Amino acid sequence: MVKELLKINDLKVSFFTPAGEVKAVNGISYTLEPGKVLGIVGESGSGKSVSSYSIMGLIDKPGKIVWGSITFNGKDVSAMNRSERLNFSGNEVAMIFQDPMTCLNPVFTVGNQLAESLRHKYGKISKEEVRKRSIELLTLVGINVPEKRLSQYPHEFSGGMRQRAMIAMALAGAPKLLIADEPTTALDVTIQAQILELLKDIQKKTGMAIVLITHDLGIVADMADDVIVMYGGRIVEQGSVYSIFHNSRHPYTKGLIRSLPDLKKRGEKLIPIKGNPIDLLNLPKGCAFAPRCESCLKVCINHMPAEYATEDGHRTACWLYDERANNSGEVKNNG
Amino acid sequence: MVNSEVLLEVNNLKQYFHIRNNLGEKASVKAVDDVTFNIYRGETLGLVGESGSGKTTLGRSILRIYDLTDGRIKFSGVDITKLRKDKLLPYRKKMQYIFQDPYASLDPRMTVSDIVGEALDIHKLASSKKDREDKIRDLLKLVGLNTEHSSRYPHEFSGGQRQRIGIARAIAVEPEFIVCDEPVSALDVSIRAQIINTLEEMQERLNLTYLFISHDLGVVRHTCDRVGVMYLGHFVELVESEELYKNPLHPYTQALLTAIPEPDPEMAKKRNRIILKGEIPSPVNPPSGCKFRTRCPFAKDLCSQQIPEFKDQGNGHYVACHFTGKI
Repeated sequence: MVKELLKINDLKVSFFTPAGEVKAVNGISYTLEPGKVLGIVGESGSGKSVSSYSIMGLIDKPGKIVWGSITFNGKDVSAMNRSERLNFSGNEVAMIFQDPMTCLNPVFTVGNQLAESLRHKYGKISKEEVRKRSIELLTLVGINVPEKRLSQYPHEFSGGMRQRAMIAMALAGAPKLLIADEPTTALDVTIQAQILELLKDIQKKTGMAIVLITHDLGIVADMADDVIVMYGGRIVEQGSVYSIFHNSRHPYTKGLIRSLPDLKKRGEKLIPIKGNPIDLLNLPKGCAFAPRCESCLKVCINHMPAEYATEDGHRTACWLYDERANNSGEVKNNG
Repeated sequence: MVNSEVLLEVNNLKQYFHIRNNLGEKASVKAVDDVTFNIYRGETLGLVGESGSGKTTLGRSILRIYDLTDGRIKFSGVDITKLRKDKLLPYRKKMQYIFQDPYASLDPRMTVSDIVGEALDIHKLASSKKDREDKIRDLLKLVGLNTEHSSRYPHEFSGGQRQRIGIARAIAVEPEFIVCDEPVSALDVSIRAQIINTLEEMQERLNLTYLFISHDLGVVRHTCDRVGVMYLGHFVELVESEELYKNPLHPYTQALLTAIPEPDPEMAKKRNRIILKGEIPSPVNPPSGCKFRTRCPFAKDLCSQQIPEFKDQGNGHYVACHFTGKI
């Protein structure tokens, strides 16, 4: 029996700003099985990062989880007490971020910071043990001469090396789940390829699950088993990587894939998604994508669509797949 | 529309920056080192490479933002390498720049009409106040902005709209040549296609020539007629873009092309990636001989001894590698 590792149910996260309530995540549900790679795609403001920060308990004032539950390995994360919580983040779930320079502490050596992660996991262990394990970890993430690198500071590392060091720290607690928030966005393509290969390799060796947050559909196609597409704080579509790319159903996903220049030759016009990005302070009453949608129906403007599931586990939140909606008449969206 | 008229001729361009190293000793960063190429009127020439390869510096040097260390730039036959202030101003009007970050490149205290109008004022292109306003309105309309928004400030716009303001500012002075420096990198995926389409529309309507700097090889393939690949201040390959993707000859280009994530799960899982080892070396202390040899999977002794010549392999396919065709 495959048991789910992570289960998120109707999660809502809001930020209470002076300008009003920003509904960053507006009711999302998904499950993740052990050892799987889940790709979460979306543009800025889609809620892809905030939803993952909530798993780690990183939502701070003025933000708040207003609704929903997060269950990890059968345990409710929000019901954990402080010591359980401490053990949970780091040892059960670890996270790596987009910009390694802002996540590493500039005044401690990489060795210091690795030791901190190791002590968090193993409690009181000897210096020799820490050193031995640190060297193992740095070797695992492909850092040469780890003995020397341990006593260096983050500024002595290049961008790609810093990301490797951060991955090593995340792996120190031997987590069951790694959340990677745009892990390669700040890196060059050749370095990006190195880091992605490394993540794949480590995933194979350790069997941990990965939640990979990115805006790059190419990375998702390469890495993920399952994909979630987010827009305006909601999941608009989810399914296996093959069904998302070859049989996408939501107009937003279709639009994203169609607007990629890679598939178009010189001289052919790109087909963009019209309109402007969403304003989270003024979310539309109905479907968040309705103002930019080419096949928008009248019902989409005022009513939130339900999720429509198909046989292969593919789910789409769109009125187009409701038989009743088709009679409501189309709305012309001209950008 | 591409013809064979050379708009820009760049010869042996060198751009060094003088710095002091950790020990306080003088050193120079060879950002662009001995680059020669032409840009033809009406074409889009792409420049790709990793950070530190010198692509932005090259774009800026061509516009004479820096004083060249060495080399020569000719703009429609006129040598502009040594021109100063007043003499250079007419060429400044002909050559414009679109920046990567639309959040940093617009003055937050100026309204949109002032941002676009400033360019008109500097080059005295408006005959009256009314004419200036009309011109600004036409420009905003041209790039797809609402003309009623001309009195708004940059912070009231989204990233894509700001980039449109940047485009309006660049085309306000009726330039012939624009350097587009990563114009869509800071934008969301769903907005990128809009801006690329706008740039292409402007090119068609105004007969513009672009130097298109990008690290995104997918965007470059779509927008560019020819592509130059840079590594550590040098060109390693320069060829028509279709040919580059079909038949890359330099090992660096080959690795770069397989490193792009492919937005198709079957292709992505099937293909063979060339993973380059290590990172781009420091331009303060570049390797001898071929600059790429430290990361090249095919490097031999010769590569460390001799700088490979950047030469035509036939039909305008330029490559700088000792072993072209043998790897």
